[in-house]
Amino acid sequence: MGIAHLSADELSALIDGELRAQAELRARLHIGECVSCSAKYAEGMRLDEALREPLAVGCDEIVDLLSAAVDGEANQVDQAIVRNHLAGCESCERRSQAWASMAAEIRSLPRLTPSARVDLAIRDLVERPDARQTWRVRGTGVRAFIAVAAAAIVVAVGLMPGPELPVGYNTPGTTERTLVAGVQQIVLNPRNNTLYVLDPNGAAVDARDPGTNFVKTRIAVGGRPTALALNESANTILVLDAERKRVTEIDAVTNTVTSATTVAVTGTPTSISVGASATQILVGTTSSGQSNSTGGGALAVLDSSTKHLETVRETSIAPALVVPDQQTGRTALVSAQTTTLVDSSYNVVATVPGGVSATFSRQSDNLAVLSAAGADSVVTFAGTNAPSALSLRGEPRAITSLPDGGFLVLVTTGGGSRVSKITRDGTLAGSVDLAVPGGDLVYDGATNLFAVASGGRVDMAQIPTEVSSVATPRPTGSNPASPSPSGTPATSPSASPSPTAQPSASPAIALTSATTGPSGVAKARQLSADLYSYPLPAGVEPLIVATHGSRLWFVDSRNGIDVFDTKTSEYYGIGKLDGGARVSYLAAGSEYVFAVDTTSGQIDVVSSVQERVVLTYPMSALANVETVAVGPDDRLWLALRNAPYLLVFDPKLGRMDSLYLAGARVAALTVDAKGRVVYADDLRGAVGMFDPATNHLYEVAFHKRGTTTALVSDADATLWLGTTTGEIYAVAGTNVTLSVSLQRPVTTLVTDQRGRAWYLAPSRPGAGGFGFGPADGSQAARPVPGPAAGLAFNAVGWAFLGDPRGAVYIALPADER
Amino acid sequence: MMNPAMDAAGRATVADAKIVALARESRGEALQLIYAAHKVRIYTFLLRLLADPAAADDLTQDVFTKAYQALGSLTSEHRVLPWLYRIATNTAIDHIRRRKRFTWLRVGRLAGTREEPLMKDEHGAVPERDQLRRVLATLPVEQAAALLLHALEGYSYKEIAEIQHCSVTAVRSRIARARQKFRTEYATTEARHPS
Repeated sequence: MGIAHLSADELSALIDGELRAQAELRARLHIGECVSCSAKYAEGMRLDEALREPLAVGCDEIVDLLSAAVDGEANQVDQAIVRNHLAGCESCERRSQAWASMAAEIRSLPRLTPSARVDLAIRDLVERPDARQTWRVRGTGVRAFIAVAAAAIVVAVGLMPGPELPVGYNTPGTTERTLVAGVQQIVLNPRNNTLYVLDPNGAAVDARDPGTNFVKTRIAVGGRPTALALNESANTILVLDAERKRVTEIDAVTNTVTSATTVAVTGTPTSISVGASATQILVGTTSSGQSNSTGGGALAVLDSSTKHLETVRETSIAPALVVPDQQTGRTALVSAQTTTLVDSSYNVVATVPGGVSATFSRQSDNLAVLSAAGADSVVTFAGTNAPSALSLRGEPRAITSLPDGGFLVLVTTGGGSRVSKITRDGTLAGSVDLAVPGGDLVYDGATNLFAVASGGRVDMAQIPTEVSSVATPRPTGSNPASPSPSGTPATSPSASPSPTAQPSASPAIALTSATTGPSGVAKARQLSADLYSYPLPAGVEPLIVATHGSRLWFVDSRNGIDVFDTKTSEYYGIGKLDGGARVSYLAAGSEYVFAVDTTSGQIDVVSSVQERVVLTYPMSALANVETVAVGPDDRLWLALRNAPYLLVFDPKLGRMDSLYLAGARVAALTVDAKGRVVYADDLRGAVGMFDPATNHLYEVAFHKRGTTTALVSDADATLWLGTTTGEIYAVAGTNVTLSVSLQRPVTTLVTDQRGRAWYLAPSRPGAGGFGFGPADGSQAARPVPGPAAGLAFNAVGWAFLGDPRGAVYIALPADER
Repeated sequence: MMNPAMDAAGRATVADAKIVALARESRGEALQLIYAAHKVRIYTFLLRLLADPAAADDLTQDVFTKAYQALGSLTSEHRVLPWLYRIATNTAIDHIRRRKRFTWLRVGRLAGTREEPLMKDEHGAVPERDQLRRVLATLPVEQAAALLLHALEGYSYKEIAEIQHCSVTAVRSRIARARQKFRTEYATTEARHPS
């Protein structure tokens, strides 16, 4: 009698060694006797062995396992598969070795720290007083922030009040401050095209647009800043506080303070300069205890990146001003009595008369020193073939060099000041009088304008080309003198005694120069005596236009974002939004341009510095946008239809907040130069102003025909309001006056280079085209023959209008015809 | 003797608990602490992903701004650095997707942005490192991020999977794909420059 065969379970357990001892013995005895079960057992064992054998895989399949094995992330089975493969594959073996060292290679790359602007942004974020308040909107809910309502008050405040006296001058009885140079109050940074102006009493530096003279940002530096210097290679502005012996550095990209360093010197610092090599900051000081310039002084040399004091060099004079020459490496140490010229090793190479200001020629090795001569001034030249000294009427203030080798000299005369141009051979080429006393001056090669700063205030004018005896307190000049083929400089009607002076340099020449710009588009076409049409490249048709400062931004028919620079008459294509983007609103600030797409609900933010889209912000509420405006801080304000609040978008933080407006329904919006948000509420019949600095909201009742289409606040803080029915109203204080009645809808209201309000509107029915004119109605409308979108003015008063047919209109001021 | 890695991890956990506690009292102070401790890691990570110092600056700011807004949601269960890396990875992915929305007609002047200085190592081996940087920036962002998290921080695949919100298998595959890409890139370069 045979015994029962082993079941499949028993066989499997036997193979796996999982049977109990007795059962295993019985099973093994059976296998010894039973051919059939013995065969099944042998087959099971073979299968098991085959399964235990690592899987053979090809090079392509091994990648993931090999990589994981290198990282110690493979399990035992995977490791066996890899080992099995590597044993027979040389190339994967090499690969494995290379991969093993890769992590180390990546780790060996330098670890770097974000730039100071990120540090500051984070610091600002955590130190902001509203840090704990939640008045942000993200996605859905809008939370109320503020409702401070006051009755019927509109505040009218002048734009630029400010102390009139320059630092360090005409202040009898002052001690240390009289040592500080009146110069070094203004610098022009060509890298971001910004004027930096010292406001000593306001403890701040203003960053201004040189085209419009508007303050872009006010940078608080604390203390009592006394001198400014530009470090162009580092793109920073250095501010000296003589009393606190402190050097503050401003990052010109963000216009924020990045560091403040105390300079450990014994005397009183008088001036700050960036050394000829840009790696050093030079601080001129009087010696300890010396409060006048008769004794010795010192030159403190700081490392420009670390601000650490490198050396202090004793000097025989107490320099009130230190002027490095970037070209030759020499430095002029200027005191009232003596000017010492030193070489790059600080060895004295020449001694010339002292003065209040000095500059090196840009075309020769000459040094020009401006000094007092009694109540008047004298310019002394030193160097190869130096011209003889030139006397000028008025008290000396500042001298600066021009690219052609000539100089501009600022003197004060009576209550005003005079700027004279001196040629490189030392003769007087022209002068222009300004109504304000001047402290320092700077020349802007891009516009051929100069700016005079005095105690935080800035006035701009064109380079004088003829001797003028007439006071022309005009804040800005006229025609940007472009190089004319005959070599004769353009005359400036504004600086000329006769308002009907000879024609200025042909605008066609200036426009022609633009055609050599990067865009290489064809030359402007003359439409009439004072109107030109500048054709844009084929297909570039400005449909939606926004203006800021000297730039006209537009979205074209191909969904491209473009910019037209009114200073240079140059066109640039910035980039293309994707095909599906449908921009409804475009708004421009000083550093950002916003394209609001209400269809897809997103805001594309273009950095005007980087000239690219830097951020796309999605937001569901955008479908209801009624109007937008940008403030001087570059925040975008959005009014939503039938919503009692405004949204405000910060491009720097990429964040949206909301502002409850006490129930107002906003139809039109503008932000004035002080950052105050002005709105028109047609539903309730009011105009209002919210001041974010004080959190105060003012409203004045204001009933009118039509609905509001445009709003702008001018330099006198008068609010101008345009309507669909063509009325333009002026709101000053609580007074509302009807200024102009056009009988056609006002398209837009803007301010010109002097802060004066202008309108743009279609021409009278049947006339075709558009017209623009001053909002106060003081001049008749200037017509353009076709459609127009957007209006902007450059620093000399030329008007630029987008032509949706593919051009930009350029209209010269009436007095330049 | 204590394993140095354990020690580091142990200390990190203590610091994290402190940060979470501090965040309940003062978000500002907590963020300052986090920023000071981790800004170099996050910036370097983003710089390696994007090879653009200005963009890395912008995104570093974004990451810490987002972290600041989300500090309230941080619990004692969280580890701060992986949490930051998660924000950084998502921010970088968003950034790259946004970048694709725009096509360039003209490269604008980048005023004021700095370039990463080329630093020689002890063997003067700048080109290889430069190559490494270049290849990293061309990888798909998820792959590069996984490789960087492993190489820079020594995170396990599981930890990376948590940061990237994906499976461990996906992480394994991302890192392998990244490595393979390096092999291809190196091979191409070697072929181009046989010396």
